[in-house]
Amino acid sequence: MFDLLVDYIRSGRIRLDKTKITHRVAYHDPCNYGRKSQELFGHGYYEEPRWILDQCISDWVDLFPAGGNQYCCGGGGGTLLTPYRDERIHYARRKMEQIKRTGAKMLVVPCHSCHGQIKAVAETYGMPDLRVKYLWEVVADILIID
Amino acid sequence: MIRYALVKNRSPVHAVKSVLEKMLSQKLVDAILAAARNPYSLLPMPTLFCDPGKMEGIDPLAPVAPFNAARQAAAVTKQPTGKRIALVLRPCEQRALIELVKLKQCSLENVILIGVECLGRLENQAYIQHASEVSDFTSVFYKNPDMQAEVTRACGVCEQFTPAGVDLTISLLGAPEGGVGITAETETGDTLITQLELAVADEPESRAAAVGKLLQGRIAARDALFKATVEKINHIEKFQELIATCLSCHSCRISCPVCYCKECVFITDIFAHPPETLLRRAMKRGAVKLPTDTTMFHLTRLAHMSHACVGCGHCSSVCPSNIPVADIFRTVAAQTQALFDYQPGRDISEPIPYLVFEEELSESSV
Amino acid sequence: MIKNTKILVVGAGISGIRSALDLAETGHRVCLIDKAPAMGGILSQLDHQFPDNHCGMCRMLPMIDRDNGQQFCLRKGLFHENIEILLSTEIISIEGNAGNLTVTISRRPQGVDPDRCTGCRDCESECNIEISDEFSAGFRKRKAIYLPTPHQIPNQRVIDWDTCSLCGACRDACPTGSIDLDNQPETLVLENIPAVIISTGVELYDPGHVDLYGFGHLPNVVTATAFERILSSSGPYQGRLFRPSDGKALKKIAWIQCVGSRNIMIGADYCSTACCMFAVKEALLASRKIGKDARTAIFYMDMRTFGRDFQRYKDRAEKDAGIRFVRCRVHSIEPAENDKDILISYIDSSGNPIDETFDMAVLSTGKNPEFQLPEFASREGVFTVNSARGFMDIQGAVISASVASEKAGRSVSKKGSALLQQRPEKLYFDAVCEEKPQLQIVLCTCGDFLKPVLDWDRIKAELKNMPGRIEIARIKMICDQNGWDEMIAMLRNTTANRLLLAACNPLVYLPRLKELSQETGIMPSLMEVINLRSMVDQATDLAFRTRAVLCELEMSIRRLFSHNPVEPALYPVSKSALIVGAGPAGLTAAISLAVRDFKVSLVEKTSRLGGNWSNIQSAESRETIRTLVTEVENHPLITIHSEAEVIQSFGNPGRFVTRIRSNNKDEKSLLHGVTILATGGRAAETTAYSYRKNNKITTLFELEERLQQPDFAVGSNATIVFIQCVDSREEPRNYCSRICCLKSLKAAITLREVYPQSQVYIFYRDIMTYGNSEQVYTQARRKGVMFIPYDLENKPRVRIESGRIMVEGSDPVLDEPVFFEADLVALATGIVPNPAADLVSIFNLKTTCDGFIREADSKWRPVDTGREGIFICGVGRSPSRANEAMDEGKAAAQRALRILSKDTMIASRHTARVRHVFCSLCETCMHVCPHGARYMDFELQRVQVDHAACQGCGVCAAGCPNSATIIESFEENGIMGAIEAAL
Repeated sequence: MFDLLVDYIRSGRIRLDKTKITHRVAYHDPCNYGRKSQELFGHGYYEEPRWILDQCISDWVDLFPAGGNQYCCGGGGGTLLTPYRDERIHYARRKMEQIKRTGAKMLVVPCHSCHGQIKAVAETYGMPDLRVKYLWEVVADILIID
Repeated sequence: MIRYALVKNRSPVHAVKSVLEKMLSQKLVDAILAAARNPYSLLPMPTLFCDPGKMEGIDPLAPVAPFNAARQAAAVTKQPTGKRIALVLRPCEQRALIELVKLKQCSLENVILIGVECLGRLENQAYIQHASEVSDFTSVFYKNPDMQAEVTRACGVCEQFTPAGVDLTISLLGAPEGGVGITAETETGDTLITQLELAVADEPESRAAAVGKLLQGRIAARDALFKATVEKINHIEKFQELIATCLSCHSCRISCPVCYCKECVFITDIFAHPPETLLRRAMKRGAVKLPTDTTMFHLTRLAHMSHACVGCGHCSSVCPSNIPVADIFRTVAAQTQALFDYQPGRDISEPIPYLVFEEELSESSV
Repeated sequence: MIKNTKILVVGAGISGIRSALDLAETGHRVCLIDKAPAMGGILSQLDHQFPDNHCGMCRMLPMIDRDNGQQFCLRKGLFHENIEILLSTEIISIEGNAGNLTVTISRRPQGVDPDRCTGCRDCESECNIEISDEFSAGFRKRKAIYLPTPHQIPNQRVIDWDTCSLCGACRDACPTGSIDLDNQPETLVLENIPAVIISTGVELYDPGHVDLYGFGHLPNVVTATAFERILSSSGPYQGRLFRPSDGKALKKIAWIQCVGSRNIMIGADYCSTACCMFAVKEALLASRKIGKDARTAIFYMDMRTFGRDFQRYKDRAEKDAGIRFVRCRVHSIEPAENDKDILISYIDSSGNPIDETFDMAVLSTGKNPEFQLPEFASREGVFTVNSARGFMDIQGAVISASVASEKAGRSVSKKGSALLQQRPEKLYFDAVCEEKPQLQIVLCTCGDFLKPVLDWDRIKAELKNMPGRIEIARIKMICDQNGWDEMIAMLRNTTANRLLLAACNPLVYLPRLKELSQETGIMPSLMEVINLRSMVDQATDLAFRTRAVLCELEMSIRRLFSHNPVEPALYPVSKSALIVGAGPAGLTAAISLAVRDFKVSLVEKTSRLGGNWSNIQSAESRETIRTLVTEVENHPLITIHSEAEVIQSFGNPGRFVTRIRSNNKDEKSLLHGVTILATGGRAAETTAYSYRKNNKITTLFELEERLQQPDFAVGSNATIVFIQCVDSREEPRNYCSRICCLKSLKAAITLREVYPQSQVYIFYRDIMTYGNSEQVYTQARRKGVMFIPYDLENKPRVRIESGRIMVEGSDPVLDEPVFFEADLVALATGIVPNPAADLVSIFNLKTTCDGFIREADSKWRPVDTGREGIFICGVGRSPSRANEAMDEGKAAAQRALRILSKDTMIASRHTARVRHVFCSLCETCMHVCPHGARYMDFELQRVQVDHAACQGCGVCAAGCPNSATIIESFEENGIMGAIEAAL
């Protein structure tokens, strides 16, 4: 999906309006597309989503740490399906701290597990207004359609 | 184990003489160094005896010391000779001798130390005056408190009048009329008492009190002297005033028993300034007093040997300008010695403070 | 032979300096290069080293033959006749064969002429470019024209071409015209280079790569180097502890160990060796500075206190400074709530997660895993110092440097080698002693600069009034070639035998003065330079300045006139060595010296050579030792005295006499120039853990031996337990024996390989696999060896129940007791030194409280003893691995060579002298001499000075009440005259 989006944007097949999103946005590297992808396929998708975001949003920031050292959200590996709800919520504490520190109003997460997890725990951590979007969602939101 | 023996005779002097004669005649020692008058002089000088028959003028109790005998004692014991020598010395002389041993200037191998409990000495001329008027002046002195008050100022503040670190002590305090106490302080001393067949007795009851009283008085006088002297030297200007008439004759240094240098640096080329230097000094400041480096001399001497000052007072006695050298040195020495918790002559195994290096102290804070 | 070629040493950090000095002191010419614009390497940034928390780098300076160099602080600069230093220089390529290499170097011009720069800083004020200063680890800014190391001498500026805009403002501002903006690097081809030593050090890891720690992102996370700058009095806060973000006074500091090391993920399967100890040192220094409010914590995995004195240092730091040691590898550092403090989350020993805030975190970074040696480092004829391969502590770096110089020197020396012979200053003496002292004063007016700022008439008039024969001359600019030539011509024509130069900074240093001396015939010890320019800069009005200048002039005049040089003492050197102990270290030292044509007497207590050979398991080391034994036995210059002991020794370096007695009561006297002690050590005994009560409980050494036997067998399901640190690292034997962890790991790996079903456990306190031996630890874990940490309060216990061995302990990770029935228990008891009390008293040396022979300085002079001419190496000094002991043997031989390589030793200009006519023989000077450089000549009844050992420190002269002993060229008259002049 990353490669697809990169290709579309680069080739001009889709056009984006960078001014649409004005608030601060943070980016989260999912384990799936970062470390796991690196381990299994030899390539971690760190550069691509960032390039894409550069085309989409003017005020987006990295969490710290980022890239290969990104903190896991704690919702992967199927924990969303298990009854260990309290544990799963506890796992996310560091992630939420990370997000809080940036002061971002929106978090971009390309992964379904992360998306579900963070959305689910945001309220518990006092961030009910945090918007969580997939990367394609963001792109879709700012498409110039004429 | 300390044993007290009492020796009685016509007078204390005779009592001491009899003991010393016996030591030689019984060949318990090969030679004795003790103060004695000689046919030419009323003033007792340290004399080295080998023949008990020659001990006519011996008088270690005489309240006078022409100079501090430690020097002469060191000359006799510079290297071990294989002979057994007894040294009869006052506490200040004996303590100075211990300091000289630490400086490798003499050795106590095969030496017997006999310390004389000392009530003080008169200045040489005063003694000669008295001794020429009164026979057996020594015995008279010991019965006469007024005369005892005439001792030199240094003696008047000396709290170490009882010898320590000797083999035998000759004491008068508390001893009955005509007697002296001989106390053994070491095994050697003890053996001697046995060999001399001295009459062992209990220490007279009055002795402790007498010693205590004298000690109290001396300490009080000492502290008063310190206080008064500090006032006179606690600023360089005051000090300069006090030593203003110093001739740089070096008599004080020469008479000092612990000033041990073969040749004092102040009489070497280092302080023998060529005329150009003297003129340069005068040119730079306008005028310069001669001889130069007088203050330097005294300050240097204080720095070099105040830790070892035994307070014998000979420096004041010999000063032709009547500078109270002994007062200055004793006062400063008390402070130097307190700084290192050091007392000269107290213990032969106690190292000289400036030879001690403490590694822990050298780790400075960051 | 190759007369004018130099051995090239690449890298002027401490290893480079040590190698260069080693070679220079043995008469070789050396060219020392560094790609940085200043020398000193990492150490130039570090002020404090443990154990005494001072710097101490100057202890590497030559102690004999001191006149060949200048005795300045080595962190400031290195000056030695035989060493040429080229900075901003790099190697491009090395070609050729060993012994005859062709090296191509590229040298970037520094932009500033060192002979003309006076350090006035006008150029810096004009420069517009400001960048982060590397020396201050980024805490300060500097200009493009700058002083790379603040304390370096000469302190001429350097231009950083990478940032310079070539605007020329500095050049225009320079009052002496020292700046040249030609920045073209010069390529030089050096031919006939006999050897090259690579001592480039390692690159430190940049923790910005691991942004888990927030380095570069969080201002209060700094590297250890940066923290050392904060600690330094010349650092950003003048030695007070504040933190970068807001200048708050530091109280609570955390150290994170193993940053960039022991991390397989980034390819760093090694330990950087020195970080544990420097973190303890930094924490201790920080605690002392902060005071009772200090809260320091070190987060570590293993506390590698493997050096002999390290454990005690660490214990003291823990006890006295209250440093907390937290065994936990920290994952990441986050900013705390208030955004300035930092937050560290970790698990404590009871398994509880803890979030703790600190004021600051210090990252202990080691070697950069991506660092690689250049390919030419593996050429023949190129010797690479081990400290350039892996990050080493100072002792390791200094020893490995001497190993490299030994190898290089060995490869270069042939019979009748090209070693330079000393040129004694004898030719001057006869003339000067006879003559009347006459002084020539040369005043440099620095062009026109000094003319208006001093009252020259007054100076001239006053100088006329000074005592002594004086001539005065004024030169416009000594640094200018014309001015220099003019001065030399004038000096040649004058009858003056003393010279006083009033000029500026660059002249103060040795090289130019030596040159001047050679050209004019005036002795270097009768020359003085005063820094006129800097005096002028400091004062405000004309009269004051003039007075200050006159004062300095008079001080120097007085000193020069009072100095009457005496002929230096000469001592013949016996070209032979005595080596006590024929273990690996002793054998290595013996061969090192024998192959250089020196006779060696090797004294060995037992009947065999090889020492602890049987306890050494590394195949490589065993082979090396076996070869060594054969070499030694067959070498014609080595005489082996086996079953012999030393019974007496006296003398001075270059001429010792030692008496040895063989078992058959024969006694012999040996004359030798140097002594090397290699008395070695042995396995320690124990009564702990029921040792000796059952033959299944053995020592580690015994287990190793058993493993070698063909009939060694345990059951395939056997349980084997190793217990480390037995009787070690606790009082009374509170040191690490350094070899046991590696041995146990290797034995454990072997057992797991041979018996894959076995259970192998190791009870340990810290695994001491420093350097690359960390890989063995990784391997052991991969092989399934199980590790159980224990501390002193919870030692494992061994019980014997009806012939069965029960081992009980507690596993802190599981937080549960563990219990095994063991088939074999191996106790790592460590090493103790062989008894050397008699030798120590014969040679008048010192031992540590554990009986090891004490070296002069554990970091900077690790194979010297406190007595010149006597060296120590191997286990007799400190526990070491076999290869380390052999390296020490080489290093000791190298140190010994600086005495042996001379035919005569000449006393340095600054040594003590006794004026016997004044001496009272009180022996105070002998007592206070720290170098053992004085002795009593009983026959002559005189106190004599051993000029080779005397360092001219002056303690003797200070202690002597009547100046019977004085220090040459610091005579009392001169010093007192100078003081008087200054008043």
